Amino acid sequence: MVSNSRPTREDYYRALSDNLPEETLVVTSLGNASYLWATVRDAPENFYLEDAMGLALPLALGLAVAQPNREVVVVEGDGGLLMHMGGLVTVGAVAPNNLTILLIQNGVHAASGGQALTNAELDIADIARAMGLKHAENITSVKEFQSGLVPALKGDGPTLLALATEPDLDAVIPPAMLDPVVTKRRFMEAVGAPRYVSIFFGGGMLSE
Amino acid sequence: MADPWTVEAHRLFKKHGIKTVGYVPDAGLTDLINACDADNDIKAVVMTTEEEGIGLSSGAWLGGEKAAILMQSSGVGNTVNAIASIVSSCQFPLFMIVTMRGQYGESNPWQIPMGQATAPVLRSVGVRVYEVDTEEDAVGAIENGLKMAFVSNAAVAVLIGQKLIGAKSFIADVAEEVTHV
Repeated sequence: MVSNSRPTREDYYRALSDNLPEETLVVTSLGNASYLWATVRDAPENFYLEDAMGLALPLALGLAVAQPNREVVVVEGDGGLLMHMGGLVTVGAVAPNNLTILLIQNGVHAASGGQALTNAELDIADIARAMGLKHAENITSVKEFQSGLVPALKGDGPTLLALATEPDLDAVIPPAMLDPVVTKRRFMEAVGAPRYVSIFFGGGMLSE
Repeated sequence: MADPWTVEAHRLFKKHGIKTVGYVPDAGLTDLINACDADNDIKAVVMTTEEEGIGLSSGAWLGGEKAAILMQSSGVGNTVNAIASIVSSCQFPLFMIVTMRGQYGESNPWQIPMGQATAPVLRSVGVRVYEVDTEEDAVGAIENGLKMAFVSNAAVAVLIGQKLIGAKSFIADVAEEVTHV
């Protein structure tokens, strides 16, 4: 077994970008998951969740339910999954067919210096199937990733692809500050989310 | 006689366009959860833990929909970083209904510390807290909380007090009944 045989996060991201329909909504978790995606393919349809480790799945679930006619891709790490494994159970129970989970399985807490995970050897596809995901696959090459991704984006999910990945311990410098409020507003404009505006009549007094 | 707050809460969810309701069950929430579960226009999601609700609600809003989150006061402790991190950083709206434990007539000592901490903990991460002890106040706080959350991008929690929902009796209220446990 060759130790560096796994693709890098960037290898997967380039393939993702090449195969991603423009209107796809993408949620990325903290650290390089977001920094690198913003570098490879910044777009209004991206939401960079730069903290709250482990909560990218619940956030993407809420989004997938609210936007049933658009594909939602969420990139989470194996450390984040372990932190809130229950989030995957909820995804399996709600089972939105427009949600694809890309699980970067690098076996370490990359964003904090590469410390080993509690368990780096889990069969995540097996776990995902047991939790009710319709499709789940362990991926070890970019070619396998492309083969798994294309059908995943056709509304027959939820799908989880566990991507065996070389750890990337150096922080990628994103092209711009990923301001949380700006990111949110830009995203909501891109999906055409309604705005709720308070309108005051009568000198600004509320009637009730 | 007016409807119970749980009936009014469901009615207000409909009026204000709540489409997703995430919850971790609590006895005091049963009627409201059942009403949401039975409503085809509301996606009721039972979560494994309360912090999922903060992600769920924020994701729904990103997608253009309103969500409400229901939990017991002990679950508020699980939501702290999620609220501070996601809701405060991004200025997401948040609307929570929290049924209280450990507050008034509590008979489970394990519930008391978190019950006492619920309101100050929520306030410390920027949530506007309405503590209510009557049907009328509960309905008013839910209506106005929904307005504030989704028009002003505010984080709002309505805490339903044990004076209203009652104190759950795990062990007997009087010593003689302990033998039944």
